Amino acid sequence: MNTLLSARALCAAAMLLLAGCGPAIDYGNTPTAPVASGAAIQPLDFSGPEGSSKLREHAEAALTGKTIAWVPQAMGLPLTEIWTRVMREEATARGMKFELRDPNWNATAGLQAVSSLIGERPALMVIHNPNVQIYASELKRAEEAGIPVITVNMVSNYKTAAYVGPEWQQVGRMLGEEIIRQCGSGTGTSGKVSIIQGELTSGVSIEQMQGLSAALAADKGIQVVSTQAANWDATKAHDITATVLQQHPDLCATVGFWSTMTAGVHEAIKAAGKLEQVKVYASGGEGKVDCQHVDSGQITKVLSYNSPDQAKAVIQVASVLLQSGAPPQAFRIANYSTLHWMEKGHYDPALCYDWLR
Amino acid sequence: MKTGVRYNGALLHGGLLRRLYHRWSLKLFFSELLAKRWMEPVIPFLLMLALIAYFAAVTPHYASIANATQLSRQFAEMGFVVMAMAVVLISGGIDLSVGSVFAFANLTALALFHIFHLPVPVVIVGTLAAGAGVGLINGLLIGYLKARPFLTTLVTLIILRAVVDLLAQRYAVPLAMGGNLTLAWSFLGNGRIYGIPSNLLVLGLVGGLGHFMLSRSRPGWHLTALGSSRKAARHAGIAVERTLCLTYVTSGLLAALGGLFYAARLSSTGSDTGVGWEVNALTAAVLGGVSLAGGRGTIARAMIGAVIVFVLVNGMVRTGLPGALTSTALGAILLLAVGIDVKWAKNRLKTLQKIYLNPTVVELPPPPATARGSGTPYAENDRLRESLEIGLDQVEGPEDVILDREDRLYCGTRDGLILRFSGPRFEQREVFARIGGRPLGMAFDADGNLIVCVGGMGLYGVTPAGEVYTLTDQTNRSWFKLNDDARLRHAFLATLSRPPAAAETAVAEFDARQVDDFVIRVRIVGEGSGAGGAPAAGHARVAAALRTPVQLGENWFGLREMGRALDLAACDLVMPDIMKIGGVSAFREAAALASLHSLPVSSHLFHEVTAHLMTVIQTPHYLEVMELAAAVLQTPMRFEDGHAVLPSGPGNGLAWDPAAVARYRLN
Repeated sequence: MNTLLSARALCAAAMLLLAGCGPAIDYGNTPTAPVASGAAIQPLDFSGPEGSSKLREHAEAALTGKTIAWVPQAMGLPLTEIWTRVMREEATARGMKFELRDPNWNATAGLQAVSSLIGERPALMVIHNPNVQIYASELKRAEEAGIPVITVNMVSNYKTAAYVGPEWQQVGRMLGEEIIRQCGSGTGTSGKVSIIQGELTSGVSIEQMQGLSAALAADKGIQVVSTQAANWDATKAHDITATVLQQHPDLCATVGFWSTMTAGVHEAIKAAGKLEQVKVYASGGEGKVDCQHVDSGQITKVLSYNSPDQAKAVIQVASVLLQSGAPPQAFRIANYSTLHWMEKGHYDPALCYDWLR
Repeated sequence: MKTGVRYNGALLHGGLLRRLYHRWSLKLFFSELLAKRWMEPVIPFLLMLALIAYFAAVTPHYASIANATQLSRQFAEMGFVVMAMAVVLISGGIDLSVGSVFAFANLTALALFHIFHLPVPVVIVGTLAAGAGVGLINGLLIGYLKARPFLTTLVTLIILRAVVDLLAQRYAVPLAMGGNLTLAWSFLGNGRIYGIPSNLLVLGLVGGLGHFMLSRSRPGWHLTALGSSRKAARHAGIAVERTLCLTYVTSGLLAALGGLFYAARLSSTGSDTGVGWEVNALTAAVLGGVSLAGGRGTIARAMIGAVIVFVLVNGMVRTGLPGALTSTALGAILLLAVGIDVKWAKNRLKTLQKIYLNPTVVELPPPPATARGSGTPYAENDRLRESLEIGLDQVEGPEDVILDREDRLYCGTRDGLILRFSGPRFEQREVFARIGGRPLGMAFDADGNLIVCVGGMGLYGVTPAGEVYTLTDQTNRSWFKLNDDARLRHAFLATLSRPPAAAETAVAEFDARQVDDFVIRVRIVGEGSGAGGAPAAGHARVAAALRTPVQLGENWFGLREMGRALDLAACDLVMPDIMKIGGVSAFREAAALASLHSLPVSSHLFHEVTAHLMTVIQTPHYLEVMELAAAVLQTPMRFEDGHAVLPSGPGNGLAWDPAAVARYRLN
């Protein structure tokens, strides 16, 4: 119990170090309350002349040589490549091993990878859930086996020790509010909006959709003419948009739940000759590629989350979880990413991370 | 002092060990192993073991119970889809819709359970019915409307996938968030029975049943027959349409079963559920040895392939290779494995033929004396000088003769008759019994029944009234032999030295594979061997009707028979037997006769002698070689590049090996 308490204290301290976020520990889900009432708290004491070495030894004992295993949905995308590169750099700098398992869009292979990892007992797993359900029971099994899990961007129905990524309802809301500004009542447009979801049952789609629907419902002038799933596929986004434009030539805006997928709609709009009329919105964290998307006019505005920063946050949260020494169930941390609007000529160049460099 | 056991009246020196030493052979073991049907998929099977061993060695905790349980749970669902594909492949078709059916069943099960809140048994029935329904559509189109399986199931794949996407649009999100849970549902997905995952157990049961059905049941045989040759299956009276239709229904049912377990375990409605599984299933089935051409394959082999694909995909992802490389490497390994498998399938039987041999040891009693006047039955004598011709030109192939108490003579014929000759000079010929097959050795038992050994059939008895009854048509199956050797292949009576009681009659057996014929020999039954020259006439009719060249001659007793056969143009090739035709001079005359008819001459047996003769005749063809005497010759004939090398010694160049002769000597 003492270890647990000191862990919490350390964790809270570390969380304060993370830029742009405070500790958001929710103990509602935990099976046992980590603080028993009336228990004496015995803080770790690293004071005195040996204090710094003690602190270093404490950190090294928890981190050095430990393995962080990472299962993205697929590699070869700017987002996952940026994450992987930065996470590997950060983990290696802390003396940790970083292992990648690439299921290459195959959710079943991903599930096998997760199952196998549980058997291999890494110190911590970082998971990119293809949908909210498929890994859920395995992630629970992992944490029961003492392996903390950090989910990135895409949550699972089983909420793991930590989540790093945007607050997607907020992303949906901000996209919705921007669309209302451009297409809502009084703008003189048709108010017609086409929504292109990703994988329907991905946490990103579900929550972004909730925020977006709520925001769009606030304006009676907005008419959602199409809500379809392109399953993260730019070609499918193109085909959907081409069809929607035939049925609704007066479309005002199309919004996609991921910029790489949404970039596919540009050609459809261009083919219909409606580049001036149809605005394109998307969320994304593709670094340099997103800067090209807005510069070239493929996407009107991208609501961006800084993916290299997310990757750093993942390793920082991992460092905290591991140094705490507490069981994974003791934590339910959400580390929400800061959101930035990007449009042609107006964006922070720091968002243009080039993963090929 | 001699030790040993008595076998058939003879003393076996050294007993069991010595016999085992002589009879057991590594080559025989391997060749019998190769001949086994379950050796066909040995390459995929070994690959499977090697892969599992490799990943168990390089991956920590891979071989742990927890990991094995979890992986086998995930394997089971794929297993059902592979099984669905395999069943259709064996029937000679293909079912590309298995992945879609899997996804459709997954969605159906989740909808029935989470949205309609139906009890689990109803969900199971409903889901399986949905899968069977899709299978039925495929089956009706392919079986009854004769649509092409590839295109039909491709269309089903696309349509069903679209249906799944449409339904997902509406139900996926509520399903993904849905939390309906009952004990039965969790058991279906994550239950264990004696530590075995529920779905793996069902896979095992269904697989076992499927294996039994395919290999041991009428519907299974119909299905396999259909895959081998649809035309032949139709001619054999198999209901082709119905069997095909039911095959696709079965396939749908199996894929749906996989989907049901997937739904219960993961409750995932991801859009990539079952996408590309048809390719994985096809790869697995083919890799396991299920033929794409149909008619060949078993459930077990499909499962071997499934394990390989599963372990490979799993293992490659584990090694952390980039995803695209994983797919490429998987493809390359599969290609290699299939290549090796093709070579294996092609060369297995060839190798088998090359290495097959069946050694045995028989201890003979001391040889009897053969010297003139020694008083044994084997003593040299000239008592046949005044012999009487019996049944000349009336019998073909009398392998054995025997006299009864009334001095009537019995003999078998090549046509499966037992003839009886009676009268003072045996001039009366009558058909005593019709047994069929090839009557060989004969003996009378104490009751006067004629015991006849029939080649390829077994041991038969004939009552004095001429009624035939079966004594036995099999021998004991020997221990430690993989092959079932209880079936008789070539039987003869081993004890003829005294009239045996039936119980004492022993049956021995030789392996027909030892005979290596070099020309297709057509064994022909003549039209009753009574009327003069009838066998040759029969041969002539057959020869006229056949395109295959007919070779005759090994049973020509004398030039007269040969001449008659040639006059009737009964054969295209001849192979006189040097002994039966009448010796060296007669053989040379026979060769001259053949050359007049422009017929190639081959020899029959005794190659040590005929090899010399073949060099001096006008139309030599093939030398038949059977190494019957090699064991007792000093230097058996040598062969180089398919040619006999003639010895240069005096006479025919042969010399007995006195030691060997002494070893096999009969007193």
